[in-house]
Amino acid sequence: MNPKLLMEIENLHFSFDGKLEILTNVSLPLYERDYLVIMGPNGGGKTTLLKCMLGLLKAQSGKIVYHNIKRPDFGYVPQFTTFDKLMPLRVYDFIEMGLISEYHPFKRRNNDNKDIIEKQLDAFSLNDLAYSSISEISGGQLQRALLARALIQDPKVLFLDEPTTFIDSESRGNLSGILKNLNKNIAIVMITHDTSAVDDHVKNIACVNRTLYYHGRDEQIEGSLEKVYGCPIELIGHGLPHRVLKEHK
Amino acid sequence: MNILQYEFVQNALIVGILLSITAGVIGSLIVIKRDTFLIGGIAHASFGGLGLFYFLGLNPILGAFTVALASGSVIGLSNEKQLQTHNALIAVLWAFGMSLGIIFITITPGFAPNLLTYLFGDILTVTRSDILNIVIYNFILLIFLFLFYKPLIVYLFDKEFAALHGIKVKLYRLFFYLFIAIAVVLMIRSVGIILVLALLTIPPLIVLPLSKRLPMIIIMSILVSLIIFIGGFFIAYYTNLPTGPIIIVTGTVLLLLVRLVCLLKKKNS
Repeated sequence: MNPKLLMEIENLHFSFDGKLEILTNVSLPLYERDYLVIMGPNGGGKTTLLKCMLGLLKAQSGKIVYHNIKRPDFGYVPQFTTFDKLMPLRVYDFIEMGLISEYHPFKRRNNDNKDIIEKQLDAFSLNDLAYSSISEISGGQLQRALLARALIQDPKVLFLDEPTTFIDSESRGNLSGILKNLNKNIAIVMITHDTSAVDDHVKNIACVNRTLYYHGRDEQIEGSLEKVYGCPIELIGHGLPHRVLKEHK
Repeated sequence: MNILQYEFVQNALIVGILLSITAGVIGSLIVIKRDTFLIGGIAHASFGGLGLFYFLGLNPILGAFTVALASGSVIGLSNEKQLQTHNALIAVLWAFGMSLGIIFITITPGFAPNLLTYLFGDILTVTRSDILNIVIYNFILLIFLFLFYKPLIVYLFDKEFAALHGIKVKLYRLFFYLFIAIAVVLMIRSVGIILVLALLTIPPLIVLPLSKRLPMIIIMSILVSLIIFIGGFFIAYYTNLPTGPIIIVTGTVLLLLVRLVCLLKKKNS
């Protein structure tokens, strides 16, 4: 049986101020329990594509069709640079932000929220850090807090923007395990320019540099990656990271 | 002699207490959003409006209010990313507003008011109606904060996340800058343009290293504002020096002391 479609991107064109086209004619499906990695060099339009998928940016032409999912079904782990890490905020308050769409000015539900937040702190081993400031914790811990915040409302799709950039290799291993587990129930869309972030749990890879070069998962990908990155990239078999070959021109 | 028996002293102290609440709340939000420069722009641009209305024979504060509201709306409605790259433009607005204000005041026939009054305000001339204005403003501000604190913080922290979760980012932006603009004008009336900047920034900067929580930072900023204000007021009274500058100097000295203590503590630990 074919997996059910969650989202279809059809002939998407995007440009800022109508000048330089950031995305040209991108079409891409997203399936239930998909694990889609969108790869490509910096400045290739990956984040723009993600923001279009999330509905944060509106494309000039083309469309995105959502099948039985709405915005509250999206979990989002942004890049560290999109928010102000120095803001006086504790890990607890940070995770609580994930519940903001349920906030109502005249209906307070602080106690219900407390249980939910504590469950999340537990699930992501952040109990000891609950009352630490987000500026004091490590990149890996902040990444876990971001995941806890994104997943607190049980989304159907989890979007991650460059999740491996600011974390060490141990945290990368943890992240990979967490995502593998999550993927049993929900779809994952990860954006990265880092070829080592792709492991054997990934189900589909899309290469984006202004336009979509490849989507799927088979032998073709090495050639596509070369086209996208402008240098040969080798994908090494299951469970091993891919490696960028030395022969750069 | 007890100075508290004078009505103007009472009024000044009441305004000080009320403005400490305004400054503590608005100042904390501005400082964590790192928008201080923008506020300087609004405050100084409004001086242009003040001068124009003075020239036209209208209430100068109404002129400042009009310009502050207009610039608050423009900033509130424009693109945040673009604004951040247009810091120089804010500096131009800053200088232009001041210059325009001074030109208008100079060409106005008759007795020219002391420019220092507008720069540093004159807390001793505030009236009961000023007090009422600040009370109304503070009341609305605190109600707004009580009801919308959480979404406001999500907006200030991470706009995209806020938008994704259905928070009306543009509306919050507009409200945020309108609240700031009105606060600025209320404060200009009693403490002057320079003191507005000082009162909005010094107290939050003093308390920032002391707490990890924004609500605590707001409350502590209010208390520190009070200390600076009342302390500065009495120092000025007994030394017979101008109130506004003394309040600023008191605040800055306190800021340096607190930061020094924090630094020493860090070194020792």
